[in-house]
Amino acid sequence: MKTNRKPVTPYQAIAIVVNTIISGRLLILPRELCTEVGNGSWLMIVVSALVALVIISLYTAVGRRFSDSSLPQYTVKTLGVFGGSMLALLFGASWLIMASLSARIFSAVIITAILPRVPLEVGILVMLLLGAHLATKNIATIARVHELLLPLVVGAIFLLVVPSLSRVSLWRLLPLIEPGSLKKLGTGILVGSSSFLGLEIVSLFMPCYGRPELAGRSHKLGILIVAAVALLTVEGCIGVLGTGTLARTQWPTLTLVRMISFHGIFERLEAPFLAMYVIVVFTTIGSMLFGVVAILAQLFKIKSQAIWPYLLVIPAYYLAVGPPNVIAVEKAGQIFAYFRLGLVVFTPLIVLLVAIIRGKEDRPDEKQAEGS
Amino acid sequence: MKNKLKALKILVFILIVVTLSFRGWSSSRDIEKRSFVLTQGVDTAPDNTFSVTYSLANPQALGNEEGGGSKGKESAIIYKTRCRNLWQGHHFIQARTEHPLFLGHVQTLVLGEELARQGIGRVVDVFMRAAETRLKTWLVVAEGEAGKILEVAPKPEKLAPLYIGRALEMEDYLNVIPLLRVAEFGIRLRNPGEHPVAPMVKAGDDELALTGLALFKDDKMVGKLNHEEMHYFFLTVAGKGHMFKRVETSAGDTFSYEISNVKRRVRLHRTGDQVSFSVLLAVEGNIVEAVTERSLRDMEFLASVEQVITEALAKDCRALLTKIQTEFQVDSFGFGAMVRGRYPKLWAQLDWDQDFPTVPIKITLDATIRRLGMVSE
Repeated sequence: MKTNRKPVTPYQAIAIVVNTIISGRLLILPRELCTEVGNGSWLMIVVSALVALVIISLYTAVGRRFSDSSLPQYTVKTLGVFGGSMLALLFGASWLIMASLSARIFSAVIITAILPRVPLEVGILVMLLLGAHLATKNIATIARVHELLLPLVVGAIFLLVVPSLSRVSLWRLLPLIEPGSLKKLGTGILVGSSSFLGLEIVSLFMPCYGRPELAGRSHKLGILIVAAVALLTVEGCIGVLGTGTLARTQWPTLTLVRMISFHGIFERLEAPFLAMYVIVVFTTIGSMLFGVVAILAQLFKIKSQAIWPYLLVIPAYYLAVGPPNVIAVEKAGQIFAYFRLGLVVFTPLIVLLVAIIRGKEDRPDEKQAEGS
Repeated sequence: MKNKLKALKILVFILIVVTLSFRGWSSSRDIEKRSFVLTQGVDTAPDNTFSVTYSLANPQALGNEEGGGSKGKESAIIYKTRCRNLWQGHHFIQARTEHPLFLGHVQTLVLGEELARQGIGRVVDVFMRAAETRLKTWLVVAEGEAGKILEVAPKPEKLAPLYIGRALEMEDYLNVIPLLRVAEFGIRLRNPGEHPVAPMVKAGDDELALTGLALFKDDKMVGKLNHEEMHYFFLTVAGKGHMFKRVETSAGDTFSYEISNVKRRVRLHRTGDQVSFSVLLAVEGNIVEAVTERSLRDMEFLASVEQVITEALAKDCRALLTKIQTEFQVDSFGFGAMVRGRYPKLWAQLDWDQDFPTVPIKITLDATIRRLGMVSE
């Protein structure tokens, strides 16, 4: 039977970008931005989206240059076995930590909002196991899962956030930029840009793109969808809650949903919202753990990935339960996000620079020669 | 070997799912094994304590005899306790009930007037902090004690604690008041340039009545408007407050004018560091009662009646504005939020609480008669 070695379609590429980036972070992003720059949060989202577009373009460029290699392979090709492997392992570690933090944040939301008697550990384990299960699958399956869940994730977020916009007060949205808030522009952009992290996952999927020439378009569209969701959520939160209330709301996106109802059908929407959010977090954790599995498999030449990815749940679980409380989780997450942002920004730059200097790239003729 | 591995994988997966699910079910609770709190009342009590009253649904009393209802039982059970903080009160009442108390269906939060005057920030914080509570709960201030409000069983309502919420929803439906839920109160409490308001209710022997509006400066009640003033307030601030206005012309003709629509426009002006506002209200309505010998088909007469209505409404709106500006000195209108939004640098220099009483605010009103009802003159 002939198998398609390049199974990922342009639509699936969009879905991978969107589903990986949108995570539990969206539940706290409005507060994080508002605390830094107040009403100017919308500007941070716009600027951060532009930054994310630049970063993903770098990954697209590297991916095109190394059309048959994924991140661990092209870092080794350009930076040598030791340097390249270490860098790839850093990515793997950062994805593992991100999966842990996503599971922890989401479990904290679940047990606070709707299941107060469920142990935190159970929530974390369930999410990590689900993610690990997805990570045992091949690229084609993962891409199909993302494709299937994209309308559900984006559609449900829009469906639940848009009705709250009827409660938006124009005066709470103004001034568009508060005087003095631009002093914190740098921090605001850092917070905003870190909310787009996860985009680097395309470095693992690009070698499997059926139409790599459309990769740039798919990636950009994915970022724009994420930016639209983030912008809508942040402005919705500011317009409804106001900056004063928003700054002291733990999970503002959830609070926004708690304030609306589809009269006569659903009185309280937080339960369906969080049920839908399981999918959001599942796709993020699944992508992240898949990234760890792919890096380890490629660096250590492991062929089967049927069972051992489940073992990743063990370190991820301990990382997730480590912080003593929700404040420590957020602080750790913020510091980690800045480190990760540096890693994600500088890696493609270094790889591209070294590849150009050393003339490294995947040439079709090389591959044909290898094949023959 | 491969099949065995697959079977083992499935078995382990099922075992994990079942084990975790057992813990996951621990939050589940059958609906009949919950005690639904429908109304919460909070009052001040001596020695810096609270008096907390819960009105719990008694589902057994709701059905008829054929339907399994228990004749003679009250539809709501009242529990009262004294406590140092609200959660302590919750646990005191919990200790007296058979099932876990559930706050997810609280319809109304009633606060005593004395407590409101002392400050209700603590109460609102507890309510907003809890995940189980409804953010769409109505927040009302009781004239007198909140506990008395919960004890009243209005005749039209089978389940008494639902009465206030439904009555207020009806007022919203009739465009008398906007939705004044606990979430909106909490939000206004924290946002610069905004001050919350809450409806006031009064308990009779077997009835409850909406009597006016409580005005807050931060979390403390600083004044109250009577029922009529409340109409003018919402007319000015939200384009609501639909009401009847009885007017009398100089010739002695009397008319009842029913407001059916209000278009509101607020303009903010700035001269140097001084701000001023002009509020334009375009009111539309119908004549629902006329005591006159003249025909309203006479356009000249109709215009003169419109003028009388305009003057009467404008006078009352201005009187209300003066009262709020000079007597209560609180910007319940939310003009401050406009200044903050439009001129943020100026806002940073202003002390709005100090400045608001002297800010020039001009109200212009234009009343139009749209229809005369089913009578043609």
